[in-house]
Amino acid sequence: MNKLLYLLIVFPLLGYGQSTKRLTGYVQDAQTGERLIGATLFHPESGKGTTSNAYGFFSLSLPRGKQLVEARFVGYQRTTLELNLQQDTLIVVRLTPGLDLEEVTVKGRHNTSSHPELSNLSFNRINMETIDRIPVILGERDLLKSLQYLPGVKGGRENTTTYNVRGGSDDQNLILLDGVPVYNVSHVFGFFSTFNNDAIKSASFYKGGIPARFGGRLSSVLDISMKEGNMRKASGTFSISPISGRFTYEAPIKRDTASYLISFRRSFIDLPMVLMQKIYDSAQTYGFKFYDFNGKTNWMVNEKNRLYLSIYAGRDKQFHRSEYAGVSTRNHYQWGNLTGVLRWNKLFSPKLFANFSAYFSQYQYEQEAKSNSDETFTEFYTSSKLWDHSAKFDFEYYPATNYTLRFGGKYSHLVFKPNILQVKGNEYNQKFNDQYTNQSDLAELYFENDVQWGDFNINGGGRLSNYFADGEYYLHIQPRLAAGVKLGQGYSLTASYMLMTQHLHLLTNSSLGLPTDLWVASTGKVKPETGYQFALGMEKDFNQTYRAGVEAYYKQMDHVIRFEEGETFVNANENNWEESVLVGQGRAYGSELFVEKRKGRLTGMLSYTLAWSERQFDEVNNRNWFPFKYDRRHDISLMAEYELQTNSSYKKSLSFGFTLQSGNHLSVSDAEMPGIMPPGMQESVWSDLPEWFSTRKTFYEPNNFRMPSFHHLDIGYSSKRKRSNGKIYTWTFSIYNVYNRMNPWYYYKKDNEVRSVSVFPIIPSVSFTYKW
Amino acid sequence: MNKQLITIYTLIKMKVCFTVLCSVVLLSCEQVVGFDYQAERKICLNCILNPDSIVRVDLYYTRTLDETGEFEPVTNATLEFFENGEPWGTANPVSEGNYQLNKKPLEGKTYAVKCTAPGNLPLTAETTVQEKPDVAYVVQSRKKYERWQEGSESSHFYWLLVDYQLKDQNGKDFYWNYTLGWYSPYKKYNYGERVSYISPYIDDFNRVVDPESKNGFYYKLYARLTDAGVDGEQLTFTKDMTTKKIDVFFNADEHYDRYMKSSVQLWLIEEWEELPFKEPVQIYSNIENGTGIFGSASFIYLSFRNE
Repeated sequence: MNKLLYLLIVFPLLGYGQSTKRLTGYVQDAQTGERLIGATLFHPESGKGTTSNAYGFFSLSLPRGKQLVEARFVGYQRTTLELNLQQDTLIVVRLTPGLDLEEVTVKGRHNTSSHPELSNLSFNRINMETIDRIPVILGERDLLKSLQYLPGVKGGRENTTTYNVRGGSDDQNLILLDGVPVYNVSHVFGFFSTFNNDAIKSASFYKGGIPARFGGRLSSVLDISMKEGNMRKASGTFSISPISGRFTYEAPIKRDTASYLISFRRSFIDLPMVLMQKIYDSAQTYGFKFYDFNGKTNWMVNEKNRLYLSIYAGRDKQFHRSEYAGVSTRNHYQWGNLTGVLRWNKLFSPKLFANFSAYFSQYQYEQEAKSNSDETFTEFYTSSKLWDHSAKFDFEYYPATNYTLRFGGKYSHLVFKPNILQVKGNEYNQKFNDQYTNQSDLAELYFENDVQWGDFNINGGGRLSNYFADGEYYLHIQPRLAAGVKLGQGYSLTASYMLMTQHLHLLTNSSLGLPTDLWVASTGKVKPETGYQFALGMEKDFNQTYRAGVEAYYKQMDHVIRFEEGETFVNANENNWEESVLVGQGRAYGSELFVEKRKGRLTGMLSYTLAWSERQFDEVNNRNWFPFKYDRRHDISLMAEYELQTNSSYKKSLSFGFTLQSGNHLSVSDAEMPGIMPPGMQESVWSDLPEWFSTRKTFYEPNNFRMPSFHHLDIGYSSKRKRSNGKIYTWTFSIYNVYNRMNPWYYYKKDNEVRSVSVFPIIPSVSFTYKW
Repeated sequence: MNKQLITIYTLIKMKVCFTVLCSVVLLSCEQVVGFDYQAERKICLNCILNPDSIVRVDLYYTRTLDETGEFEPVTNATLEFFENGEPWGTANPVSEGNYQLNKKPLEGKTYAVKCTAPGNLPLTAETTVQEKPDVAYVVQSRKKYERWQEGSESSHFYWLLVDYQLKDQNGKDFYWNYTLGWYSPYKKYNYGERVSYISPYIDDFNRVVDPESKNGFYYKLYARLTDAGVDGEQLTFTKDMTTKKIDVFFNADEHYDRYMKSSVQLWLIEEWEELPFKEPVQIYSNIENGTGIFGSASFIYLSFRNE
């Protein structure tokens, strides 16, 4: 381990030593001033290049004198800069949206040039425009559901936002919004994500070779960046779908210096309900609603300093009130996230870029139920809260064009109040679980070396975390290494290793993203999860038209948790959560293949995953391994788009989404045996003892039943019209589940019969977006 | 509790499940599923050793869930027992599927069973008989039931507040506690299906929040107490009792404890049989090459009478 770390630190220093001038700057959208993440700056003469970072910043060493530099970004026209470099120079590269004339139809879904050491199966830069056009259920575009088309990413239950990556659990995915972890990413009990697409600028997704600057989860990282706000003119977006309405407005505060963006989304679900109750003058009122608010402002203090302030607030609320026979009953659930981050970009020198952040992220769930009459009073209150207050710093040092050193650190203070429960009545007032409130602190440091030697790219580093909670210290060293080499003729080979640590656990057994899912800290009894993953991949690029690749991986996870047998989310939370969980291990392995067409009227990606995922707990199945609930052996996904018409005014396209996956696993009692009558009951005069006292229904291996194959085909049609005044109208029509496949959503037992419930039949929908 | 309160409490219990189901009910489609049950047929051996009782063994074949009727007994098996590794005796059939060995096991000794039935691999299992729980108690207060005079004989009892001291033995012990009520006139018993008292040693796995219970909760069927972290120490706690009851404690070995716990967990979720997303239960078994349970339990009975 020490030798590996030594190599990771020392060998990149070999790349020093050229006498050059430094070209630094920012890449931004020429129309809006929005900084572009992952744009490529390429020096054709030397064949060297770099990409802009998360703040649009780049740094490139070039020979002194006249130089040509190409700037490129997906969806923007390529620009060639003619420079006369006599000294270190800071520039702003402005790219104009539109198709590159030389690459007329290059619309690759992903641009991986910012991570040449990773395959397209380990890293994806999500094209938000593509997400706008793919068919979706109920017209509600959703970043998290779109991810589920990627190989190795499998949804939990149909149409929910939770996902499992390469055999990991759904709590092993780090989801960052402007660098801030969001703890509950679902609305409407998991059916929709909390992310409003209109406010999102870009998203990057890692599931292998995760760089050392990210940590805290075992399986994947989704790094989402909000739009910054138009620096040049006021603009806005209004969208409407059968589920919600969205409004986004952005404008400069001072042109090219400061801007802001606000975006609001609210659901319509409650409106017809309330209307019906008014019409029928119902004694009961009930409904459900959710909203999101995104706000962001930024100020370029000068060319070396920039400040950002981002806020996100989202909330769901379900309520029910009734008056009957003198008894008043009120019941409501509400939950939501609140996040805020203040960031300061500082350019210390042409070679040293830094970002300092302070953020908070809060998740709160509460449920209150009251019943009052003249004589009786009952109140039930439960709440869960999680606060995360953190400060972090990130440096990027560019000593040479082919070498970037990143380093930084973070300190977090977390407070958990899981499931505080109170029951009150006329004569009692009982509170539970108050004693399980706990606090934890996490300090982390990382370094990352990004090196390029000709066609060989490597990103190596490590992360050191020190976690303190419940009187226990946990120190973890997490080495990371990813390497890629271009072999010629379009072939490339990649390999990666990562060791990850996760200090938080999510208590859930529904995998729906329910508000009652609890994030809890590691404790003396429930240790942090750790895991490592190896991945080895090969890709072939066919003249930039087709790309195909394959990647195999093996992942081992320790200290993974699951609910104890018999627990349900209904009663588990009434206990100390530590008593309700089991700690064990997991392993997952498999391979992923993809073929992508990037040019032409028909573009898209077809992928196949062959995977295994298993778990082992000492208390379950006599310590034997058994299949993980989401061990889906086969997964075929297709996402494609066919352009019907494209010109400066119109863009019309058809899109397709198809998924065919092995079903999830379930534990289903399939055997019955005589049981021993429990003590006390033999002697009892009780009669009519339920049958289940004298027999036992069981299964010999957990997750012994595989649900039927899961598949659906979705079709979408998108028509985008751009008027001469710059206003854009987009209609999107979708049909979800075209052939009405009734995929089972869950099973339950009634009257000795097992019944399956399917939730999503064929569902047509339409949505409309207006931009100005 | 009036109907409205029951309704709200039901809602509370169902929590978001109710709302989730309401949310999807308009779209959902339900159908009965025909399962092809393919569980392997095994021999189920059930035997709990008790120092107060001779050894009784039940031996039946398991069946798949879609089979009905009686369980098929295993009639031609040979059951050999071993005590601390030495042959102890062979159980004889007393009826179809039931075998008996006319010996009582001793506390602290380890017993093994080997069951040979033609056409099957031999079944084996082992258990160590636990010491009986060492429980002392002091009745702290005694108060006559408020309606003693009004009611029938069943209302003739006292409220008691009782201090308990459970002297734990060294090593892992798994205590279970339940109550039996005398069914007048003291000849039959009624099983108390809930236990409600506060003790730091109780495992909360079967705790049910109930606004009507004195403490706001109760333990379904049994209270399970463990000596985790307090091995060999004195466990003290206080309980509300009444006269005309027997307070029963038993000390189970690890296997029977896990079998009991998984059974109670199963019964808890059987009560919520229409509830989705419950974590299913696999009944614990320590029988090699078969299923069932070979465990042990040692009981004590504390009687509280009016006299």
